[in-house]
Amino acid sequence: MLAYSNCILHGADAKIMLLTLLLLYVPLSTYLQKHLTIPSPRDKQMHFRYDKAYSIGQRRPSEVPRMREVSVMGAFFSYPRRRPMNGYHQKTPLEGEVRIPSGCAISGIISRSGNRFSGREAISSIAVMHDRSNGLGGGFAGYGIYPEYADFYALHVFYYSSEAKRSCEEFLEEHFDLINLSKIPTTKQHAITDEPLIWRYFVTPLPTKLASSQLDEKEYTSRCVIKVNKEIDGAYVFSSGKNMGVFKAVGYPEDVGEFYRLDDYEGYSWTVHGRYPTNTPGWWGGAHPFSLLDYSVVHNGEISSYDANRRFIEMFGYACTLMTDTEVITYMIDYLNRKQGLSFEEVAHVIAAPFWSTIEGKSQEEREVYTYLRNTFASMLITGPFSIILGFSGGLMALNDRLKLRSLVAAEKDDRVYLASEEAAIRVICPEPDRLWYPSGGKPVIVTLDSQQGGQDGHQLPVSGL
Amino acid sequence: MKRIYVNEQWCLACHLCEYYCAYANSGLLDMVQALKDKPLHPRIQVEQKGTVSFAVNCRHCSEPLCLKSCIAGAISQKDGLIVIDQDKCVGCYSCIMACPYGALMPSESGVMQKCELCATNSHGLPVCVQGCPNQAIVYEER
Amino acid sequence: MGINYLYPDFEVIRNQDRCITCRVCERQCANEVHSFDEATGRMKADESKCVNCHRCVSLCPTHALKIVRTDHIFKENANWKGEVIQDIYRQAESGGVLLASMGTPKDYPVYWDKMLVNASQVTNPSIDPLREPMETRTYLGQKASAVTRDTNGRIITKTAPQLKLEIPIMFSAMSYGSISYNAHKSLALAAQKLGIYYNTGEGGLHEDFYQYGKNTIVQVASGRFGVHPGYLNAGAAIEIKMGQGAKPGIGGHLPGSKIGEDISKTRMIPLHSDAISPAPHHDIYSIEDLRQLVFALKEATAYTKPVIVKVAAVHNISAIASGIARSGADIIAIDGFRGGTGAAPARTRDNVGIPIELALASVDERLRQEGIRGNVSLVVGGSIRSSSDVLKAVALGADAVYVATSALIALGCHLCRTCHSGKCNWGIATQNPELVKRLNPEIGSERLVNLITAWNHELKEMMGGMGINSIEALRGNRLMLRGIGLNETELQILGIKHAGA
Repeated sequence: MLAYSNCILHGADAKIMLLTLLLLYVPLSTYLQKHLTIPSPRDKQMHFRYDKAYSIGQRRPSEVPRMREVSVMGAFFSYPRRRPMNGYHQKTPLEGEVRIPSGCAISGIISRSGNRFSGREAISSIAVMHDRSNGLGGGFAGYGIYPEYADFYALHVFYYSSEAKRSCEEFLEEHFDLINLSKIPTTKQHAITDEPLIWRYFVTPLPTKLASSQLDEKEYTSRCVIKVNKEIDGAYVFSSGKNMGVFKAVGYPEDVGEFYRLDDYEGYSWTVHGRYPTNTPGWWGGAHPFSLLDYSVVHNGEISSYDANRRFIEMFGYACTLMTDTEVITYMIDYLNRKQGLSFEEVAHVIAAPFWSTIEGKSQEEREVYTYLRNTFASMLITGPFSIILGFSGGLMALNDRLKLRSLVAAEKDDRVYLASEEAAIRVICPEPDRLWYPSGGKPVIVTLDSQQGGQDGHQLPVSGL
Repeated sequence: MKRIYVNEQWCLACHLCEYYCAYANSGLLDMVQALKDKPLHPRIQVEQKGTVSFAVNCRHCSEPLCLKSCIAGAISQKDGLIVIDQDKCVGCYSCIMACPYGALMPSESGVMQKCELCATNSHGLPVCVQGCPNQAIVYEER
Repeated sequence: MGINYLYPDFEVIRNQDRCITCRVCERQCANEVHSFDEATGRMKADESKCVNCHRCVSLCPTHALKIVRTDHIFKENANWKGEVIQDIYRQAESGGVLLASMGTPKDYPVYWDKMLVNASQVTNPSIDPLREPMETRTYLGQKASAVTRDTNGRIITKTAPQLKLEIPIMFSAMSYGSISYNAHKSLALAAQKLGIYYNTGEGGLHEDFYQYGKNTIVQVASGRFGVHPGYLNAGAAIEIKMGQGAKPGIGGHLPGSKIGEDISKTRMIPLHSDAISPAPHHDIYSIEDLRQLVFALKEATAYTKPVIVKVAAVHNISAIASGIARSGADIIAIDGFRGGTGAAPARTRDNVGIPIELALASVDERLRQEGIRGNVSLVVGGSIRSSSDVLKAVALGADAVYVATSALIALGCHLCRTCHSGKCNWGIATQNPELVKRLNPEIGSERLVNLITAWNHELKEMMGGMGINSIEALRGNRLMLRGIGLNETELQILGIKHAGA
C-alpha cells in the first residue's frame, strides 16, 4: 500500500492512478473500516484532557483517523485538486468537485478594549463542542496577532509540492514586496497528518505594479490571491489580511490549535471552527475559517441558496473553487462591505433579509432602504440554515439565518463578548457572564473595538442586535 | 330573501336550465330516465328573440297576484316563498291570467306548477343556477 | 363537389340510450356539427365539421357524447404519415400556406420533463409553507450596480422603474382581436386580483380596460396598432415585441373579418381591413436601432416605466439577449418555440426556433459571464404548463415566467387549435358576439385566480422542500436541478448535472 501511495504522491500519470484506485478500492475501504476506530495508547491519555467536557455516548478523540490509512487518501485527494476525475471508482471526490454539506461548531471571542489574549480560550471553547465536528476540518482566525507587521498583508499559504511553492513565490515576487517569509511554526500532533508545506509571507504590493493596475491596494491583493488559488496547482493562499491570520487543518479543531501553537499568538479577537462534513474532502484548504483579505468566516449550516449566490457573485470576479458555503458567504460579504460600501448591519439586511411582511411594518424610510437592499441584492439572500461569525479588522459579527435554523448564543462579560454554537462553549471559558442571550434569526450581533467607535460602523452600538 | 335573478348579458339560450329544472322536479334520480323521450315540463323557460335571451321563472313577488287570484286557496306564501298545493289546485288557470311574468304553467297532470326555488325537492340550491354554464342565472339576496 | 380527399379526423360518438335530445350540443356548436333529425326524433352529427373542441361534450347534461379519433387510416408508412399526406391534399386544393393555431403539437423534447428537483434531507431542514413565511414576491427591472448615498450617508433608494409581482407569473401577450373582449377582461381582472400583470398584445388597449392600467403591460409591435401616448402611459410597463416563439421572423396577422367596430377603433385601423404586422420593425434593422426605440419609449413615458423587449428563442439567442441587455431595456422576455399563437403558418410554427429551456439556460449563463445579468430581468414563456415548470424556469435563471396557453385553458380552451377559424366555441379566440358572451369574465377571472393561486401554493411547497423560503434564493440555483435521460451536450447547455451525480 505504501508503495502505491508513494507512486501517487510522486505524481504518476492519471491512468496508473485510476488503475491503482480501482485495485485498491475494495481492500482499502475494508482496511479503513477495520482500523479507523482502534484506540491507541496516546488516546487514552487524551481522555483526561477532555473527560469533563464529554457526556456519555459522545465520541471521543480516540476516533481520530489513524495516520497511515489517511495518508493514502490524504495524498491522493489533496494534491491534484484540479485533476479531472472520470470513471467509476472515485468514491470521495475532492473539495471543489462536489458540494459537501457539513454541520459544524463555531465560536468567537473579542475583547472590546482591544486587550490581546492567546488562542487558548478559543481552543478550550471549541473543545467542548467536540461532537459537533468529526475530525475532518478545524481552524482559527486571530485578529491583532501581527502588530509588528500590521501594515503588511500576511499571506498564509499551503503548498503541496516544492514546484507549487516555486511558482507561487515567483508570482508573489512579481507582484509584491516580500518583507518577511518563513515557515509557520507547528508542533506535530498524532491526529494531524499529511500536512502540506505551510508558509507565511508579509507582503505589500509593488508600487509600480499597483499603480499600473489602476486598482486599490485591497482589490489588487485580493485579485492576486484569487489568481494564485485558481491558477497555481498545489498552492493555496488561505489567509491574506493585515494583522490577522487564519490557521486551519484537517483534524479536530482542538488538535489544530495545538498543531499551530496558538498559545504563542495574541489577538484581540479569535474565531474558531470545527467541521462535520458529510463526505471526506480531506483537503486542508476546505477547512474553516474561509478568509479573503481581512474577512474571515466560520459557518455552521447548509445554505439552500448556494448556487444562486455563487452564480451571482462570480459575476464580479470571484471564483468559488471550493464549492463551500463559507467561501461564497465570504465573497458576498467582501463584495457588499468592501466593494459596495455597505455597513455590516446593511450586509446583514441583504444576506439575511427580513421577510417582506416584516419590512412592511417598518417606518417609511426604513421600508424604502430595506426594500432597496432586498431588491438590489436579491441574489445575495441566503436561505437555509446558517450561523456565521464574521471576523473583520476591529470586530466580529454573528448572524443567523432568518428562521434561526442553527444555534447561536452570545454573552458578555466586562469588555469581552462571546459568541458560540452552544452555551456550554461560552460557560467553559466564562462561567458567569454578565449577560447571555440567544440572538434572533436575521438580527446581526455586531461587536467592534471601543477604539473604533465613530469609525466605519460608528452609528452602531458596541453590541447591537439584542 | 334570496331569489333567482337572470342576466340576459350572459344567457346563451342553451336551455339547459329547463332540462335541469324538469329533472329536479321529476322525483327521479336519473336524468335520462326522467327526461328521455318524454314531454318537457320545466318551471323555468328561456325566452328568446333574435340574439337576446333570458330565463323566466317565478320571482316570488312580495305581493303575489297569483295568490290573490287563486280560487282554491292552493297558493300560499311562507317566508317569501310562494308554493302551490297541487292537491288543492283545481286547474282553473286564474293564476296564469293574473301573473304578469308567465311564471306559472300547467304540469303534466294538468294542475298548476311553478318554481319553488328547489325548496320543495331534494336538490337544495336551485338546480337551474347550478346548471347554468355562464352564471346567467344567479341565486342571491338583493 | 369533386373528390373529397379529406376524411374527418374525428368521430362523434353519441350514446343514444343517454341522449335526451335537449339539443344543447346543437345550440352550442358554432361549427354546426350537430342537428336534430325530425324524421327519427334523434340527434345526428356532421363529423367533417368537428374540430374536437369539446364544447358539446362539456355541456351535454347526460354525458351522452364523446369525440374520438377516427380509426380510418392510410396504408401504414413511417415516412409518409397520414398528416403529411393530408397536408399535401390541403395545399393541392388551396394553393396556400397552411395555417395553424396554438403551440406546436409535434413531439419535440420537453426539457421541463427531463429535469428533477431537489429536496432537503438531514443536512438541512425543509420548511413548511403552512407554518413559516414563504416568499414569492419578485421585482422585475434593472438593478443598481452600485449603492449611492446622500451627504448624510443615507442610501439613495431611488431605482430604475420596477414591476412588483406577488407571484413570479404573468399573463403573456394576447391581443384584443386575437382573443375576445371577455377573455381580455378576464385576464385584466385576474391580474389585478393576483397582484401580477397581463399583457395587451399588439392590438392596443380597449378604453374600458384603462382602469386596469396598474396591472397592464402595453405592447408595441411592428404594426404599431393602437399605439399613442395615452396608451403608452396607461400601463405599468411597455413591451417591444420583436418576435414571438410560435412564429419567429413573422409578424402578426388578424384577418379583416375580425376587425369589427371596437377592434378597428382600438387598433386605430379602418373597419374590416386586414391587420398585418410587418415581419420586422421597419425602424429596427439592428441592435442600435432597438436602443433608439427603447429610449424613445422611455422619453415618451418620462422614464417611469420599465421597457421589456420580447424576442423569440432562436439559435443565437444568447448573443441577441446580450445585445438587448446593453440596449437600455429593463426586462428581456424570451418566448420559446412551443409557445402559442392565434394564427401562424404551420411550417413556421413547427420548425422555427428553439425550446425555451435551452434558450433560458444559455442566455442566463451568457449574461452572467458578461457580468450584466443585473442589467435586466429575464422573463420566459413558451409553454409553461405547471408550477413545476415555473419552478424549474426560475431555478435555471428566470426572474418570472409568462403564461398564455395555460391561462386560456383555464378559461375553457380545449386546445383544438382552430383559433384562426374565428369560431371559438368557448368565446375566447373569436369576435362573434354570440360566441364572445359564452365567456363570462366573472367566471373566467376567478378560474385564472384559482389556477395561479394553486400554482403558487405548489411552488411554495416545493421551495419549502428544498429548504428555500424566498424565491430569489431559487433564481439561477441550478444545483437544485438534475437532468434525467439527457446527454452531455444537453446537460452542459442547461448547466445542470445528471441525476445521481
